Amino acid sequence: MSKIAVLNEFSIEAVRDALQKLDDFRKLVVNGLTAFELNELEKIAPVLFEAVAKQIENDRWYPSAGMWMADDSDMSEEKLIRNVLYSTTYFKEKFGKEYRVFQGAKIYNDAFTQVIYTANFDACVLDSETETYWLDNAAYTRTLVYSGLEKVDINDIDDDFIKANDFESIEDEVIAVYQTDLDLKSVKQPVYTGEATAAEKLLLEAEAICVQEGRKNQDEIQNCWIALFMGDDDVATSVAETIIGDSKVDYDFIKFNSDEVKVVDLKYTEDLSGDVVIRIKETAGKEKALTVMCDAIDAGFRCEILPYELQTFRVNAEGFVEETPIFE
Amino acid sequence: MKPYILKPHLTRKITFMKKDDARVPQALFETVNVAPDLKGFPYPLPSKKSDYTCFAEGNNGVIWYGAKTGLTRYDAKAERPEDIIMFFSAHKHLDDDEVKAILPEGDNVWVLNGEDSVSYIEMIMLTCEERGDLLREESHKYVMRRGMICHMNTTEPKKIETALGYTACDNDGTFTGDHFVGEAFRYAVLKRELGEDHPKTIEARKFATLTSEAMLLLTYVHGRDEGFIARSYHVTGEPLPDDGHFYQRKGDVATCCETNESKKTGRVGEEVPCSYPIPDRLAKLYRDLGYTDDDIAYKADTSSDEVTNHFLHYRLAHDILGEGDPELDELIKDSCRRTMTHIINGKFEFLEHSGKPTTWAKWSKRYFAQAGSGYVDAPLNAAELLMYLKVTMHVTGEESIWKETYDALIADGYAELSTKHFDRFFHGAMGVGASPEEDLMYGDNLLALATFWMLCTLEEDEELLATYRKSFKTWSNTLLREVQPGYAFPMLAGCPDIELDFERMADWFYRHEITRHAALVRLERHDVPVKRLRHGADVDKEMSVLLMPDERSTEKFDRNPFQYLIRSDARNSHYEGCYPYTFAYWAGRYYGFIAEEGQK
Repeated sequence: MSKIAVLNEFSIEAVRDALQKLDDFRKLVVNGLTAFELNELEKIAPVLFEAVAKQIENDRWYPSAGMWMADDSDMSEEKLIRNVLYSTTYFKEKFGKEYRVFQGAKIYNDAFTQVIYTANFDACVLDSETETYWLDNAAYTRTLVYSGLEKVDINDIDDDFIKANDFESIEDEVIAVYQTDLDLKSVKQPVYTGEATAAEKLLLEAEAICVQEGRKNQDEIQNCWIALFMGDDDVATSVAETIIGDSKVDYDFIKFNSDEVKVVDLKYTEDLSGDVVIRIKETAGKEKALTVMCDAIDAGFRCEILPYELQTFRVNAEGFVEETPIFE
Repeated sequence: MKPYILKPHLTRKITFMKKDDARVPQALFETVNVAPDLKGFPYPLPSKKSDYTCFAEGNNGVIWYGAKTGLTRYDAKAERPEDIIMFFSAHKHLDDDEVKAILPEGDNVWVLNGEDSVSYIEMIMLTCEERGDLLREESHKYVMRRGMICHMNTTEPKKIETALGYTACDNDGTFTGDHFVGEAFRYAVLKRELGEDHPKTIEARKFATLTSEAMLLLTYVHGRDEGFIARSYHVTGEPLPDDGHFYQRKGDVATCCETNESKKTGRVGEEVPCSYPIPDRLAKLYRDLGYTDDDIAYKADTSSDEVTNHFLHYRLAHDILGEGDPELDELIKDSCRRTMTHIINGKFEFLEHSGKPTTWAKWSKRYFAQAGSGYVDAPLNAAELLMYLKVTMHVTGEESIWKETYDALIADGYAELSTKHFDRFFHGAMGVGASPEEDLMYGDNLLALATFWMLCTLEEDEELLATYRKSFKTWSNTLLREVQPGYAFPMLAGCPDIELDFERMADWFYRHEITRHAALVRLERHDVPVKRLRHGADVDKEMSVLLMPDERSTEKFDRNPFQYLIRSDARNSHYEGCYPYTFAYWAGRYYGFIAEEGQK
């Protein structure tokens, strides 16, 4: 069985050592570095980052796609979504890569499976898991949770070990397994939603107010979310409060024909097109037919939502609506 | 359970004409358009508010709104939520989406649209049975050919009276089998309620029998002695489509015709014996029209779609028609035995005369072991084979080799394999980067339905029945999301513990039109999001909401009813058979799940 060489330590020395080994041994493949870590590396050691970037582009270094930075496994839907959104966008825009295997911590939120599925990941490798199984949620989405990789720390292995073994990426090994016939048990994800923190709530309010007042501060807000992932709630709070100013969220901006649905997020799209994103979640565990009215942006539409399902709608300037994957 | 009571309901009837037609009232051209003020309108509207250019009030407070992008009917007092807002568009209801003027006339409305077109839209009150009768009438008059039902093209758009009279159908046995279900249940229900000698019962029996004969003919028309089934057959004068493998009969030999497909497979000119006699009772379907056996060109490369619906037909025809028609019953038994023998002799594969398996009719472990389609198909195909054997035992009243084979397959894990559909299907779809609804072969829904419906209503062993019910439910996502009573009722018959939303089933009947004209409709709607699926390309878009049948395209059972379709003129000259409606309606009546208001 091929070995999986993983960079466990995020330091200049550790990255440099991994790059040296990649140069010395053509058969070696390295796994590791999240979007956050790569972003930091670019800031503090741009030359080293360029070397890693080259290896990523050549498929000899496989970063940890999934979360921008997970500081906690108990998080709100919106924090989870933004984390995955900014990570996948980073790899796509920076390296032209769309990875199919999610790597990271298991997140205790019933949207986890749906988020992974709609972000086009086929499978995930979770830090804590020791079994391979299908993970389902109530909204009929599923992902493969894979374990059983033979990981070694790239910084701990010596030349003899490298010469004596074959190496593969987590991505390739899991996808190869995925392509085989699998008869596995399935596990239903329990219904659970992490509460948004005070800073997250302020950011969400700021985004909603931007839409309600036609202010486009998306870049600024994105930076706040990233600061928030890093635990810098003060920065996020301060910027959000500045954006909000004296404004108040208009909670009647979007109206439903049901009390069992909540607005998770109202914001502009990340692509700065000016389109609006309305993200909603069913909260009572019941499938229902909904009408959603949002006169201010000339939108009024019907939809069908499954138990605990998240749905994301993109409304264009003409008021036409598209149901999109979560990632807008 | 008590039946859900269906009531008479408004139904759309559309008459297309040009504006110089004498029937068009002059007042339509004299209306003065005023754009409506829709600020604060309480419901989502199909057109953008600023696109509405005119409005007028009809009976009972109904307001008709004309837009550049279609016609909206607003009935604030409608009893059913789905009826509050209705949408009409080209090409099903209008020639052109641009509404120029509207003139209500009682419950109905005249609509000037496009350059010179007028639609007269009548809202007529019908029972669901009456709606089904009108659909049958259209299909039997214009779509049926020698007892077979599939679809029909016309020479002129929107004029069914210009029906060609012939068509190319790849699955005549499948769709005629579906039609047979509706006809057989209709006969059974009318016999139960009105008696055998009632004129309606007699008429029902006639068409159920005709459809059954057409099904049986497909199992003999090839003249091969080894129990084959033809996909379809054509007679002299009907153009052969350049699709698949056709064999032209002459004397005792049928020769493979030249088509792109037969050239590719090197079968052009292949000779196959055809001396096995076609029973006179069945051959009359073409002989009475002046054709001989030498006028037949039959289509081979038969798939499991065909085979499965033939077994569905064997069971229901035997149960419903057999007792009163011993001659037909003997033909059913003979055909059933021959088909089952063919499959067993072919080591659970359907074989061409050359001994090679057809492309899509394989129930063998050899096929199941194939990565990709074999792995994904195995749960359904395993159950199909068990169903064929169970039906054969039921129809023939024999056990012999059928029971021996059935028991051996159970011991070999076939029943247990049938429970793995959802896991394998989901996995297979994701393996190609698709979502399940994108990757589904929609015809498989019906195959699963027929298979597990039959197994769950024939199997008496408690343990096996529980396994089949469990397997049936692995299809519930894809079957029940369509809110098609034709899927839901047989599933309820097989799995009495499933929960159905009968209000939504009723909407499906109420909102079914009285024609199966397959013109497409405007799906660029302001009130319904378009959903991007996992692949994200244009072909992989769905409507986010399942539209009512009269506001979406008219399709066969085996299409995705959510699919986002781009309109094309070709569909204006296309009519589908009525069986999705009649199958659903009469299955519901047969099982007592639905009844008409006032019905005793």
